[in-house]
Formats: sequence, C-alpha cells, structure tokens
Amino acid sequence: MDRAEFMRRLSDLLQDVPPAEREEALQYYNDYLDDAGVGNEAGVIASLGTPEELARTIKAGLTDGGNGGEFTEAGFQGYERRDKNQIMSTDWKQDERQGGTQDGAKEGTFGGNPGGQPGKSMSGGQIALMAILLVLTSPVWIGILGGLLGCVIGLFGGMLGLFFAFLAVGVVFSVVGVCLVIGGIAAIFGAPLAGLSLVGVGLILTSLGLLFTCLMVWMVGSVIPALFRGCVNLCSRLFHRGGAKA
Amino acid sequence: MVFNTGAALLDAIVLAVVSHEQEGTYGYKITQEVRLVIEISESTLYPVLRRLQKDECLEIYDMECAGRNRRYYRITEKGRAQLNLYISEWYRYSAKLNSIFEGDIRREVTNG
Repeated sequence: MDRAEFMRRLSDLLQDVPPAEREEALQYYNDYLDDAGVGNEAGVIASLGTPEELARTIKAGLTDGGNGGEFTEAGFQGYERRDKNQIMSTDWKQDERQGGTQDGAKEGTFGGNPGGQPGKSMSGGQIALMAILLVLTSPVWIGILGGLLGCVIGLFGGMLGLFFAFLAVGVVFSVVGVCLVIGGIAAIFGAPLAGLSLVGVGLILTSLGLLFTCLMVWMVGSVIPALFRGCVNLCSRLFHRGGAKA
Repeated sequence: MVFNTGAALLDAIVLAVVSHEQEGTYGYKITQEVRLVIEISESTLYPVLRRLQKDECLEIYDMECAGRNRRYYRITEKGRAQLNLYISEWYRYSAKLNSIFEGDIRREVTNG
C-alpha cells in the first residue's frame, strides 16, 4: 500500500471522530511520513500497521479520558497490538480496567455507596421477597413515616405560632408606645415630671415594638424560606434513598 | 524487553525527550529518540502526545520547514512540573527496588 492510499484509508476510517481530532491525527501522520523521508516511507507505513489498526489506536486514545494505564511500549493494550508473550498480563489488565470503569460508573450514580452494588445482582425472587417484606412491615414504616410527617408539621406550626406571637407583641408594643407618647405630651403641661416619664416609657415601648416587627420581617424574609428549603431537601433525599433501595 | 513501560513512565519519557529541546521537537524525532531506549511501535506516541497536549503538559505550534508546515511540541510549565514529579517518584521507586534486589543478593551470599 502506498502512502496516498494509506492516508486516504486512514482518513475514511476516521470519519466518525470529531473533525478537529481527525485533522490533528492526519496532520501528525502526514508530518511523520514527511519526516521519515521518501526512502523510509514504505518501512514506516509497514510498521504503523494497517490503517484499521492505526485508526483504532487513535480512537482508543480519544475515548481513554487521559489517565488510564493502557499505553505501553507494545501499543495500546487491550486491542490487537499485544505481543504474544504478553497475553496473560494483557488480559489481566483489561479485566482490571473494566472493573475500574464499572466502579467509576457506580460511584457516579450512588455517590460511592457500596450498598448500591448488591442491588445490581438481585434476582427476581429476591425482589419479590423484598416486596412481601415491605408489605408485611407496612404498619411499622407507615407509623414511622407518619411520625416524621407529624414532626415536620408540628415544627411548621410552632414556627407559625412564634411568628404570630412576635408580630402581635411588636404591633401591641408599637401602639401602646405611641399612645403613651401622646398621653405624656398631653400630661406635660399639668404634671411635667409624670408627663416626661410617660413620653420616655412610650418611646422605649415603640422602639421595642419596632424591633419585634423588624425581627418578624427578617424571619419571613430568610428563616422560613430556609427552613422550607431544608424540608424539601430532606424529603427529596428520603425519596431518593427509597428509590435506590427498591 | 522484559519489563512493560506503563502509561506514567511513558509520559515521563516523552516529557523528558521533549523538554531537552528548548525550541520544541516533532513527532517523528520524538518517536526515534524514545525508540533508542524502549521498544515502542511507530503508532504508540500519537495518543500519548495528544493526551499530554490536552492535559496542557505540552503545547503545539507549526513552523515552516522545507516548504511545508511541521507541527512542533514544546513542554509547558505544567509539563515541566509534572516531569519533575515523575523524576522524583522514579528515583524513589527505583531506589526501593535496588534496595530489595541488593538485599536479596546479600542474603544469597551469606547463605551460600
């Protein structure tokens, strides 16, 4: 096979890789043959292997992801370019590699939870057994779920009650304070001392009332939404774990 | 060749070969220089060079040479740091191997 045909077939075989990668590889081997010199061209083409083998090596390099242990001096292990005396170690490597990628995939879906592993190999009988067990234990887990729900609702009710209490205190303090200030100002002309102290107490009450009202605004603005988010997260996590178990 | 050269060691060899050329070097020359020390096929290095380039250990540029553009590879700062790491790890590893080999030799001598 001469150079032109070799490059043309390589180019055809790389149709399904991204154009940038294809150009890169073709330029590399074009350069390579240029640099080998016309005299060595045939020898280099022969030692590159068939275009099919070369295309496989290039594609394997693309999908490898960067840090696999597959490149050795014998080429890309796990494909055909293995030496005959290395078949044992190559096969072992390939197994290890497959195990590695599977572990990686599991880590991705289950967050490294080893409990996800037996689920994969569960037979139909085991699934049926799980379902029966789930039904039989339903009084227990329905009770637990109900209790949890009750806790959440109770927490919300408590928060709501606290919210209204603070609001009421704030409003009452503000109103009483304003009334006292007005009364005090009116009394200043009759009894200056009593009137002034009334104004003072009224101002303190008004400021306390405003403080409570501000606290309420802050609660409504940030604490309650945060609590709500927390609850939603908790629920979704519970739901998620339940889904993974089934 | 009795021993396999794993991916990390091959990376280290390629980085070392490229790092010796201040102006960078090209695929054919890198392959021939690596082939002076380990047996690799002509097609082994392209995926390695491409990966090192993607990992930003090598950078490429094209230079006019004899009426055509030739692609050059040059080591980056990150590549140099990686190479230094490989070299220090290699010294540690080979020192350990040497110590166990020499220990075995000593034991054989004393037993014999």
